[in-house]
Amino acid sequence: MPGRTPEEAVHAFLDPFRDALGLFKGVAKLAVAPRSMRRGGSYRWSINAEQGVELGSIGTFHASMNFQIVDSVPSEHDEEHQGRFRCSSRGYNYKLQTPRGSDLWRMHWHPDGVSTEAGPHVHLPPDLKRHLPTSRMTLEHALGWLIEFDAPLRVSMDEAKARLAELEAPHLLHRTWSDRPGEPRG
Amino acid sequence: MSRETTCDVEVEHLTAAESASAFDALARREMGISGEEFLRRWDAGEWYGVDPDDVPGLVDVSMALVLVR
Repeated sequence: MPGRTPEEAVHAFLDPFRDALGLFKGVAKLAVAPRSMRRGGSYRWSINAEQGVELGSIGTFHASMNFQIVDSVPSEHDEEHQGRFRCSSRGYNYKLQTPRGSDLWRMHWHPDGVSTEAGPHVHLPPDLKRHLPTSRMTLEHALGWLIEFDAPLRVSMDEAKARLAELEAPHLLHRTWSDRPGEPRG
Repeated sequence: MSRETTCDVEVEHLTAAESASAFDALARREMGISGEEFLRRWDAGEWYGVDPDDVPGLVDVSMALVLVR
């Protein structure tokens, strides 16, 4: 959602993630850097300053996202949600590690690197080097996978799934691409 | 429910020193090297042209460069 200032846009961007992460036990902070907020600037958030969150016997969930503050497009938002700035994601990295430190799954989108796979993809064991192309994965989608792995919740499983669906819906409605950046819309 | 849970997850804006510390800890955990060493090897082009998914931890650390650059 847009904001009247860069700071407001960042908070509007982070609020659904805070809400979604708040469904799980153990998440304390969403760390954002750098501090000064300006249009065109590149930023990053992560759970507990890159440390992830321990989820009991299932392991540790790490999540981070790179994003940029850009101009908002008024026609893409209703009257109640207007603002000059919005945040646009530029990459994500979600993964679940076992308590022994091996990765159970990785959801990646890192378009700025030299990877042969610039689009969103997942890595699954036993061959974690293999890129399995996916559509754009939301944080809520990754959190839904955690629920399936019996991550400890603050609410019932049904409540958590329903809330994640509510939180994901506006993103699915407003995002500019689903499978590949620059794909035709309509 | 949503209001309560939102309040539980704070947003923390990291200082430059905190960002550097987070980057260093990440590089040590994912690649077994300090953040400083990662930057030196990155700047020397050690991983230029390498698929980051082929080097354990490289995606994790290279994506976090915004913390220090």
